[in-house]
Amino acid sequence: MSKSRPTSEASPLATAYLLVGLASVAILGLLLIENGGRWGLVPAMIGAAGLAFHWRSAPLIVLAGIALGQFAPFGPIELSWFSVPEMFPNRAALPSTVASNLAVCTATLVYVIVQYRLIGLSAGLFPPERKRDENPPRSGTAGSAELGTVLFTAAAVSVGTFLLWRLAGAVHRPWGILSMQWRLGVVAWLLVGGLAVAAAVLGHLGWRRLSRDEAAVYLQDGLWHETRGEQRRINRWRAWRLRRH
Amino acid sequence: MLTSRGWWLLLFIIALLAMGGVLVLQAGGFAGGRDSLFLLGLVLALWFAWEWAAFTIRARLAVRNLDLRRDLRDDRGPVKTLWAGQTFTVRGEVRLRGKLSIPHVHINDRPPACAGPVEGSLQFAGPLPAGGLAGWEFRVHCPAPGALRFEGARVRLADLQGFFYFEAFVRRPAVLAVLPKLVDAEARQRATKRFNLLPPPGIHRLRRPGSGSELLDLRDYRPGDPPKRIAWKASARRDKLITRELESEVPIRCTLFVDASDAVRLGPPGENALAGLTTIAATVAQAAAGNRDLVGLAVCDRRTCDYVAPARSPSHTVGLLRRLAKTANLAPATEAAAVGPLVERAYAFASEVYVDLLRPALNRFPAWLPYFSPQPGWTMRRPPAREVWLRIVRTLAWALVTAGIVIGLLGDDPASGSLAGGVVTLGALTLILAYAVWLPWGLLRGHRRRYGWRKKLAAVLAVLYRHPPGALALFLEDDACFAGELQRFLAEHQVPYDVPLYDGRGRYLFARPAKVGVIAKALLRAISRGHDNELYVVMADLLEMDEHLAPLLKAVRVARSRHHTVMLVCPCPTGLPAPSGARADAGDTSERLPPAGLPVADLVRRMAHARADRAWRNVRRAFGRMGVPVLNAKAGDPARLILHRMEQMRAVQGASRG
Repeated sequence: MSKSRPTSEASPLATAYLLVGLASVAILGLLLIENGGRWGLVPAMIGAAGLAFHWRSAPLIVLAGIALGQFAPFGPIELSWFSVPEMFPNRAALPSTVASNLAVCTATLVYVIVQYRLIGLSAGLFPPERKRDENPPRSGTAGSAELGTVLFTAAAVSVGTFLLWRLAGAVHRPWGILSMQWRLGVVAWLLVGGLAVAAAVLGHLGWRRLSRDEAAVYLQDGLWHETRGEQRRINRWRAWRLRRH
Repeated sequence: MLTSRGWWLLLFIIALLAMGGVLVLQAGGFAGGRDSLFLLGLVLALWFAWEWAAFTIRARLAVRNLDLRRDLRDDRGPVKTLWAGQTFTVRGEVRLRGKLSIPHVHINDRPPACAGPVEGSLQFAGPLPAGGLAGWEFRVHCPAPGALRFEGARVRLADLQGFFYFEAFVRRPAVLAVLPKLVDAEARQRATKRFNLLPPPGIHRLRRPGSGSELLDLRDYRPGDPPKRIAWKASARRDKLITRELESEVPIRCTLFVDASDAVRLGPPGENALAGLTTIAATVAQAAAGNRDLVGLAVCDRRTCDYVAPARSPSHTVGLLRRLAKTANLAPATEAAAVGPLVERAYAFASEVYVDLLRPALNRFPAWLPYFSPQPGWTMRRPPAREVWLRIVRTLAWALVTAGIVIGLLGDDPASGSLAGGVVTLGALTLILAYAVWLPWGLLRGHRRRYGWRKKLAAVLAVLYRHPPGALALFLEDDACFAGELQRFLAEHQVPYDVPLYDGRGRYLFARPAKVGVIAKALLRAISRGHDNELYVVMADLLEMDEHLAPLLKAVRVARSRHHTVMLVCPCPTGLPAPSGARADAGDTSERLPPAGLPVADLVRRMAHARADRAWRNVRRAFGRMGVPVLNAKAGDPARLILHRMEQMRAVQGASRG
């Protein structure tokens, strides 16, 4: 029988997560500096500080920093305040080669996963409850296997995404649509369609496993929605009569 | 299902995809590194979608595979029956069946509401592998007779990053009776002056042989005597067969009439008048059973009576204790209770225990319904101030408009025409004002939210109690019916709730005079089945019911005419000092005028005490005329006095039989 074990911040798994996160941030910083100049140092330093101090908003700031470094030189809007040649040379922060790009994406994903996991280990996974005065439960761990699964998932998702992107480009383009636009459209449709199919399948599985009471509530609710007006009229007159007599 | 953490990350991922998409669209036919941002967003989006799918599968499928078991034990081992005043250990464990695992789960057991302080851990937090077991252990104290209801365990799931959250409740309701404390017959009986009763003149106690257990005498064996009665040692000494003669037993039949109406259910569970009455009844039943006396029980409320004929077997005694424990668990209910507070209390409970039945996918409530079709004031027992405002001002407005029209039609001079126009305009403005106040008033108040809760609870209650399909709509419109169902729901789950003591006209709602007739009928029924001189103990709240006591007094008169003994145990009002006979005899000291300058609270308390004293004296006078002693349930030791009376009856019966 397993027992509840509150996990401290200095647990071996947290330390392992921290090391992996720092390594991913280091790789990310090196690749960003190599491509985008000194600006690449900013997301990396914020990421490292976020890992060290468990900042909750650090992953979002890192993502915003990467997006800004990429969007500023190529974006459709000219940002006059952004033209600092020492910080932003006139090239994108993200690399253009597939291998470097894959490494940046994987490192960013690993960093995001690790940062949120560390926050979960220290501050808890559940949203705070206003009505209860109990402390939020902290996360227990599944041991070192958890970290391996996380790294494998990150790598698999990154490689899968790049493969998807490559396959989307290989699909025949009708009507002379530009290749990048066609590729973007295919991926967007795949993403939306996949999510819709997944939601439908999961929803159907959920319906199939309804309990007797849940199914009865659903049927009762459906009947009420269909005949709400008539039932309301009848019962209001009835309630009025009972109240009078 | 998404937490705020998840929403923020999702928002950033969508922003990354949008920005990357813009760059890709700008690129046209050649990427040149402009698809990097989109790819980064796509990587994050796919990973997020993967996590969502995995979490949803676990939330929808794995949670249903959780199997909760509960084990109660004391120092000697597992138990199935609880006893008041004792502490028990509860071991809970959840097993995850199936092949899915849960990366992080927080399980929180819900302790019974009527239990005392809980010691130990009630929760488990951590990963739960497929086939794994999560356990916890705590100790629970049973303060009073009644029942403990275990609902189940609250289960919360989250992914490892805290983006997704799901809450469920594994319901395994179990109601365990908490029986009154076990007492022995000797411990509850008076130690001194045990037989301080002189038999009536002409009656002398004469021991006679019977089939009891105490030795009366030895005599020579006669043919036909049962061999088991032969005293072998005495026979060996005298060299002839000697037979033992045993004393004759004089069992007393006692029937307890317990008032279980709403009048005695008021107050906190375990501390109300009903708890006191059931404790007395349980003590008498156990002690009498120890004396091999026969005990019966009649639990009466305002409509029905649950009668058990006197018997003395151990199973009968345990059955009586179970009935008393079940009775002690009853909660007060009145149809006059306001629906609003009950809905809030019930929804707070149901949102934890019946969270699966309140999900919007199953139990929807149209948000527009309270705006376009709210519950009208004319179906409410107590319309809210908003409805009263609309009704009054609207009536005034229509009166003004009508008056203006009448003036315009009947008036024949120009001045009356302008006056009519002014009055009609004033009426129209009043009508506009009425709705201008009524509409924002409705938007600001919380009745819309409460209306939604009411609909969801109505659906849940209609299903839980297996009502016909139209019950949902009925509960939405009929306040009295829904208030009754809500009280039933709350009482069944041992959730405390407030009930009004007085109606809108200031009348006490819990007097329940109908119970007197039910008790009287039960008493007459017991008398008609009586064998010998019996003891009838009526435990009922009869204060301030002087004009309704006639049926019971009549039944008591019948019992006394047949030489039965009747005792009355009456609980005094909670929160007031016990009325004393000495003070009553001294001549209404409590009814003297209070000193000047007394605070209002003390004044009210003093008046309440005087009123209770007066009611107590009236009851004593009414029953005392027939030789029925009236005991206070909260003062002295009524159980011991009842047992003492049984001993007196035993002595008299033994003497009369001799």
